Amino acid sequence: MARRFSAQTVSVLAALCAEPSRWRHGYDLASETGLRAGTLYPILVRLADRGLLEACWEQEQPAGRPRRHMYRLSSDGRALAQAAVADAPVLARRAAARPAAPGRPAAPGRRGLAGEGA
Amino acid sequence: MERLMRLLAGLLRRSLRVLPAGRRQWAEAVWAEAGEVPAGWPRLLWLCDGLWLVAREASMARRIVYRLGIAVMVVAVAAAMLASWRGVPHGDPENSVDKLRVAVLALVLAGLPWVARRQGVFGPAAESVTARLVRTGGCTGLCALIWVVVQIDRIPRNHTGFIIRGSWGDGGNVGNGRPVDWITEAVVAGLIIGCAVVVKVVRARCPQADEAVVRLSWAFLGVLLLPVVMDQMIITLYAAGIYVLTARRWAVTPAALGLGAGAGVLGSGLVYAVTAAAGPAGHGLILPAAMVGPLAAGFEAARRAPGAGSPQEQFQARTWQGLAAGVAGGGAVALLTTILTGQAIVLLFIPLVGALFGVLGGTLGAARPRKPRPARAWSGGLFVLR
Repeated sequence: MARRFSAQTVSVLAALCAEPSRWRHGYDLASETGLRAGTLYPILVRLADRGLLEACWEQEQPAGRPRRHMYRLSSDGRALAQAAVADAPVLARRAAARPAAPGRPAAPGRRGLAGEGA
Repeated sequence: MERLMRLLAGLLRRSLRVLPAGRRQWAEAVWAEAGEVPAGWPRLLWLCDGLWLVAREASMARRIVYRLGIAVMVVAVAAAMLASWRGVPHGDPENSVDKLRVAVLALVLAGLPWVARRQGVFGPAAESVTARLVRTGGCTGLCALIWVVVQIDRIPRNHTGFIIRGSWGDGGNVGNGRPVDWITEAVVAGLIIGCAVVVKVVRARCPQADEAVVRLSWAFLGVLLLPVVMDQMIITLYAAGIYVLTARRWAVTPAALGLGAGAGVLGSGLVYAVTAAAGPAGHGLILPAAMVGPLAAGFEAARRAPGAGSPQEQFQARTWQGLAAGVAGGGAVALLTTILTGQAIVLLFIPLVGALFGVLGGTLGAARPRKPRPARAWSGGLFVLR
C-alpha cells in the first residue's frame, strides 16, 4: 500500500530541507513549523527510527542553559524529503512555509489537510 | 505560574526514567529546551507536551489499564475464594466442589498464559488498550461467574431470587445433605486419566501417527470431561478463549474485539433489563442477542479490517476478524447473562451461536470493505494512507 507523509511531517521535512546541512533544535523547528512539541517530537522520533533523521547532543556545554538536542536530515532523509515536499499538496506546503509568531508556535493548519490522503 | 512551571519541569525530569533507554533522549530534549520557550503559557504548554510525550512513548495508558485490570482480577479471585471458604461446614460435599471451582479458576487464569507462553497461543497480550481491557474484563467476568455460582450454592432450597427474583431457580446445593458417591467419582476420574495416558503413549510409540487422529482423541477426551467436570471445563475453555482472542499472535483487531465485546455487553444488558421488568420471559431474548449483536459486530469488524495480499487473502483475513468479533460477542453475552440472570446453560452453546453469526456477518462485511481512511495516529502522524 502506497504511503505519503502527513501534512505535519511534510512541514517538518520542509523546514529541515531548507538548510539540510544545518543542525536544528526542537524549539527552532516548532517555531518555524507552528507545531506543538507534542506533535513535533513524535514525528522526529519516527523519522529518526527510520533512519531519515540524524540526532545528536550539542558538543560543548553552553553557559546558562542545558545542552540542546540537534537534528538534521540524513542523506536518505534529504532525498525523501525533497520528493515529499514536491509531492505535497499546496496547502501542506503553504503550512510548511507559514512563518510563526515569535515566541509562540502558530496553528499548523491541520484541519483540512489530514484527510487529503484518502 | 512560575511555581507550576518549576513543578512541571521537575516532573518531566523525573519521569524520564520510565522511558526505555532509546526514547529517553527525546523527552530530555523537550526538558532541555523548555528554557528557550518564552515564559508563561507557551512554556507551560511546552512542558505539558513533554509530559504527554513521555506518557505516549512509555505506553502508559496500556500499562495503567492492564495493571488496574490485573488488580481488579486478583481482588475478584480473592472474593470468590473467600466466599467459598466462609459460612458453610467444611465437610459439606458441595462446598468442597465450590472450593475446587475456585482453585481451578485461579490455576487456569494464572497458569494458561505461562504454560503456552513459548508458543504464543495465549499470550503475550496484544498491544492495544482494547485487547487488554477485553482480556482483564473477561477474566474478571469469569471470577464474577464463579463468585455468583458459589453464592447461589448457599441459597437455601426453595428460596428464589438472587440478583433477579425468580432467576436463579430453587437455590443451591450446599447443605442439602446429598452424599458424594466416591466410588463412581474415582472410577470416572480413573477412566479420564486412563484415556489421557493412552493418547500420550500412542503418540510416543507412533510418532508418525496422523496428527488429525491425535487431535480427535484429545477432542473426544474433552467431550468426555465436559459432563463430568462441567464447571471446570467451562472455566478453562472461556479463559483459553479470552487469552486466544487477545493474544498478539492471532492479530485480532481492536475494532473486532471492541465491537464484539460491546455488542455482547449491550445484548446481555438488554436481557437483564427485560428480565428485571418482565420476569423469566426476558430469557427468550438471550438467543436473539447472541445472533444480532455478533452478526452486526462481525459485519463491521470485517469491513474495518485492514487487508493485505491477494483479494482472496484479504477476504479470508476480514472473515477471520468477523469470526473473532462473533466469538467475543457470543462469549460476552453468555458470561454476562449467566452472571446477571443465572441461565448457566447458555455458557455451553451461546459462544458457538455468536461464532456462527460472526462468520456470517464477517462474510457479508468482507465483501463490502470500507475505504481506508487516513491513518490519524499511525506512527505519530508520520504517514497517511493513499
